[in-house]
Amino acid sequence: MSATAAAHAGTHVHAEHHELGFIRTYIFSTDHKTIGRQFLFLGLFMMIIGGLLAMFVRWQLAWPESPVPGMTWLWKETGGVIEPSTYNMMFTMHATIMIFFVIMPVLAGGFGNYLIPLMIGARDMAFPFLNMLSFWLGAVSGVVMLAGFFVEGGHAAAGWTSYAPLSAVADYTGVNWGQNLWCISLFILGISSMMGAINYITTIINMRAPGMTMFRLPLVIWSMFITAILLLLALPVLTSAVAMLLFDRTLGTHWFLPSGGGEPLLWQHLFWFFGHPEVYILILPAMGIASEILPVFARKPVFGYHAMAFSLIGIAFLSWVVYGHHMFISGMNPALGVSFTITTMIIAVPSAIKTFNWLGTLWGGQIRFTVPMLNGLAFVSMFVIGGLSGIFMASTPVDIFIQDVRRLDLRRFRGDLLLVPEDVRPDAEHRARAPAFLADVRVLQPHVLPDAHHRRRRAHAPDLQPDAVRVSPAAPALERVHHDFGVRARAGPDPLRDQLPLEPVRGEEGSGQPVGVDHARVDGALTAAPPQLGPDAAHRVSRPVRVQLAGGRGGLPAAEPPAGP
Amino acid sequence: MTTVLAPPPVERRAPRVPPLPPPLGDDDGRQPAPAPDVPPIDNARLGLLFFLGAETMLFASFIVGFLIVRVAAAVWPPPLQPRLPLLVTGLNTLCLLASSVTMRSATRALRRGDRAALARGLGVTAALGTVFLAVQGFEWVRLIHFGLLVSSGAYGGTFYTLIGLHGAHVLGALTWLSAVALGVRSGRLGAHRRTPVALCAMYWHYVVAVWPILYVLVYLY
Repeated sequence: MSATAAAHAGTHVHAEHHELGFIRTYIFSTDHKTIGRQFLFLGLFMMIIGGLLAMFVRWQLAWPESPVPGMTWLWKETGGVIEPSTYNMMFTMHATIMIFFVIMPVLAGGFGNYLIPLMIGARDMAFPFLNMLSFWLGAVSGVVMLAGFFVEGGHAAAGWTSYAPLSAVADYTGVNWGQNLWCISLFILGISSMMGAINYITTIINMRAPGMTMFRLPLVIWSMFITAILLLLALPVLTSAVAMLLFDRTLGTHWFLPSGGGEPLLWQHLFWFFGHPEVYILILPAMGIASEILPVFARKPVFGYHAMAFSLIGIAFLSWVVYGHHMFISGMNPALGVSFTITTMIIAVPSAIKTFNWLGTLWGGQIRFTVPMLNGLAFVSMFVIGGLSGIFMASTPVDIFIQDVRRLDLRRFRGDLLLVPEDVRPDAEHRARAPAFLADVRVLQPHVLPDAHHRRRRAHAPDLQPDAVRVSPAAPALERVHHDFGVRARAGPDPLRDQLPLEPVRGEEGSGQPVGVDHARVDGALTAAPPQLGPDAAHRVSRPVRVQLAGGRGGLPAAEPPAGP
Repeated sequence: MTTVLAPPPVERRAPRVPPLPPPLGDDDGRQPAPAPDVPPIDNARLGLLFFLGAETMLFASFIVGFLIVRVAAAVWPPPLQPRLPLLVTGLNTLCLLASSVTMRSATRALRRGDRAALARGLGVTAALGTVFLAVQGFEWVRLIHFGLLVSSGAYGGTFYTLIGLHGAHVLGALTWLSAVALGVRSGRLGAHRRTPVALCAMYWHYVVAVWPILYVLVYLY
C-alpha cells in the first residue's frame, strides 16, 4: 500500500495533497460533500422564509383581519393586518419556495450529492465543476426568487401553479415584476436542476465501484437515479412553459391568451406534464431514505429489493401518463379524463408494492424505536393514508364532486436525523428530537384519535368559489379557506368549521370512524374558476356528503342530528 | 504495540423475538460479473446524450404548444398576416443540412488524424451555420418590415418563439464550434484529444436534425 502510494507520489508530485484556499474549500468547492451541505443549507435557509410565509397564512386564517403581532412595521398602512393581495402572494410564495427551494435542494440536491459517490464507491461526481455550477445557479435562482419580494407590486400572487391567463396578464393579479422574476427564477432553476440531473445519472451509470452492479445499489441511490431521470426530462417542460409565460407577459406573445388566438389550457397541460413527475421527484428520495432507515432499525435486510427497484421504475414510467388527474375540472375532454383515471389507479400498484415491502421489512424484525425509525414509520403511515385517499381522488366522479375541498396532502422530511453520526448523537438528543416526531403525530391525530372529529353539519359552502375566494381581493377574509385544523381549537362560533365537505357520522358502537376529511389541500387549484361549470359550480360540486362506515355489531350507525352553529 | 486489547464485554439481553428468519432481501448467492472498469461510453459522451434528452423535451414541449395553438385556430395563417418565406427558408434548410455533411467529413478527418482536413471541415461547417443564421435574421427583418410582429397574435408569437429558440441553439452550437475550431487550429485539440471535437460534432448534428422538423411544422404545415 505504502509502496504504491510512494510510486504514485513519485509520478504525480502535486496530486498527492493539495491545500485549497478557503474559497475553494467552502464556497466554490467542487467536492460533492461540500456541495451537498451547501444545498442542505440553502434549503434550510429558504425553509425559514417559506415557513414564515406559512405562519402568516395561518395567522390570517385563524384570526382574520387582526394585526399580526410585531409586523406593524412592515404593513404600516393596514396596521399589521394582512391585505388580501399580500395573502395571495404569501400562499403562492410559500408553496413555490417550499417545493422548488426546500424539498428539491434538501432531498435531491443535498442527500443526492452527499450520498451518491459515497454509496457507489466513486471518488466524486462525474462532473465536479458542473456540480458546483449547478449549486451556484440554484443559489442565483433563489436570490432572483427572493428579489421578487422587494419589487413594486409584490411577488407573484397567482398560486404556485400560476394558471394562465391569470398569471399571463399583469392587471389580473396586480403583480408585474414579481411574476416575471418568478418565471426567470424557475428558468434558471431548471438549468441548475438539469446540470445536477446529468451529473447524478452519469455518475450512477458510469462510476460505480467494481462489483457494484445496478442491482446492488442501495435503494436510496436507486431512488436518486430515478429522480434524476425525472428531473432531466420534466424540468425542460417547466422551463419551456415559464419561458412562454414570460414572453406573454413581456414581449406580447399570445401563447396563453385567447385574445390573440392562444390557448389558456396549454399552460395547465405543460405545467402538469411537468408537475406530476415533480411530485415523484419530491417523494422518491424520501422513499429511498425510508427504504434505508427501516432495514437498519428493524435489523433485517430490506424485503424484496428487486421489487422495490422495479416499482421505482414503474412509478417513474407511470408518472408521465397520469398528469391529467390534476385537470379533471379544467374543461379537458372527459374521455381523456377517464384514461387518466385508469392510469392513476394503476400507479397505486407499484406504490402498494413499496408499502407492503416496507411492512415485510418490519415483519419479524427487531424493531428499535429510535427517532429516525419513528420518522420512517410515520412516513409509511402517512404514505398509506395519502395513497388510499389518492385512489379515490383518481376517480373523476369523486374528484369532480369534492373539487376544492380540504383533503390530505402531506409530506414530511425523513432521514435528516439519521445522518447525524452516531458519535455526536447522545441518547439525550432523542428527547430533544421528540417534538419533530410529535409534529407528525399531531397531523395524524384526526385519523387515529376517536374524538378528533367534530360533528357539525355544514350548511352550505360559501367559501368554495375559487374565483371569488382566492383571486378577488374583494372577498372577505372570513371566506378564505383555512388549512389548519388547529383553527378548530378556537372558542366561540366559527364559520370556518361549518364548511366540511364530508359530514362525519359517528357510530353508536364506537368503532366505525370516518377517515379524516378536514384537511386542506395545499396545492394548485387555487386560481381560475372552471369555466365550463359556470359561476355556481362550487355549490353544485361541493354538496355535503355523508360518510358512514359500518362499525360495531349494531349495524350501520345512526346519524346524529346536526348540531347547529 | 502488539498488545491485543480484550473486546469490551457486551451486554446481551435475552431476545424477545424468535431468532431471525433468513434474510429475505437480495441473496448474494448469485455473483454477476463485476462492473467493467472502463465503461462502454465515457462520462462526457453519456452526459451529453442525457443533455440532448433534456433538449428534446424542451423542443417537444414548445412544438406541442405550437401544435395545440395551431390546431385550435380556425384559419392558419390568419388572414391579413404575411406569409412565411418558404423558398428562401427551404434553401436555407439545405444549407444547414450541408453543414452536417461537412461536420461529418471533419470528424472522419479527425479519425484519420488529418489535421488540415479537420480544420477545413470545421471551418466550412461554421461558415454554413453562419450563413444559415444570417439568412434567418435577414428574413426576420423582412417579416417584421411586412408587419409580422411578436405581438401580432398567436401566429407571430409562436413563429418567433420557435424559430428563435432554434436560432439560439444554432448560435450556441456555433460558439462552441468556433471555440473547437480555434482549438484545432492552435493544436490543443486534434488526434491526441478528440473528445471535445466529437462532443461538439454530436451537438451540431442534433441542432441540425431539429431544424427540418421545425421547418415542416412551422413553414409547411
